[in-house]
Amino acid sequence: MNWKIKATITALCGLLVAITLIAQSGGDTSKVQQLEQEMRQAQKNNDASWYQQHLADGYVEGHSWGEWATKDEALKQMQNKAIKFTQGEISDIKVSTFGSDVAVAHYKFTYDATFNGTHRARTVICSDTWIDQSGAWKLASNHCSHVEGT
Amino acid sequence: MKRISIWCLLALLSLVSVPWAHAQKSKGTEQAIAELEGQWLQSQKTNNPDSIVNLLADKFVFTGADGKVANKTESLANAKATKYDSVDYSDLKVVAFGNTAIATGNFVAKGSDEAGKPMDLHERFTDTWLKMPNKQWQCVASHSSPVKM
Repeated sequence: MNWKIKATITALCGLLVAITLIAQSGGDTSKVQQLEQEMRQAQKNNDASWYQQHLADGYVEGHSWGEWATKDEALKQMQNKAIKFTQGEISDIKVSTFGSDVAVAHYKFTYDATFNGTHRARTVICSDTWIDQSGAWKLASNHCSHVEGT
Repeated sequence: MKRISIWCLLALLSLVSVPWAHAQKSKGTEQAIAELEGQWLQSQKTNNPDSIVNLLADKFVFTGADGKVANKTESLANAKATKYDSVDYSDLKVVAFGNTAIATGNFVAKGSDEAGKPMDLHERFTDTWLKMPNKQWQCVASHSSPVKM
């Protein structure tokens, strides 16, 4: 084979691989951003089935008031009608991807909610770790802290 | 008949060995991450953050209990300016998800912060660890929140 043809094929293959990797990375980022928005909607609707489907086994949640929750506890919270979110908006979301199967999302979440009769309205800053398990993105951890002055 | 029995036995063994191997791998990961968290604690006890430079990924992000965010360089600079008189972790738990692991625990510390102000911290943390292509575990994110006493 002519060396020019070989070089062209090699360059095209490299370009194809690069485009695939960039598309994959961008795809994961927008997928995670979409999941974050879906999660907030599920939270507003007390949609425990969304959480059941998207929380990884072994999931851990760290609340801004210093408590932990496991997957089972998080699901019970979703089913608890005494916990009600009336407002919840995500802002400043940044997603870092690590390979094609791990992503960490950092964002601010401003909400108005009632937890067992206690009213909470605040802005928290959160870190979420997402993992791709056999083609399905699952949330492995969520940890939020109160942003001072909000 | 004898040959079928051997094949059945082999199939059974392979079915049993897969979850066993997975459990062993998870146990190994949990132990490895607990050791790295121990190195991190030791760096704080000795006020020597240089020893954790390789534990933090280049894209590392730290979110503090006050809601402030710092990258790797900023986190190391803050760690260098912080002086611990006492520091300890407790209730450390590690959950492995293949090449990702989540470590959670309690953090108590006394000393002076990066601004030189006295600090008396009681926090909870979540660390996200990732096995890099060079097989080395590195922390890509750490998040703390205060424990309300």
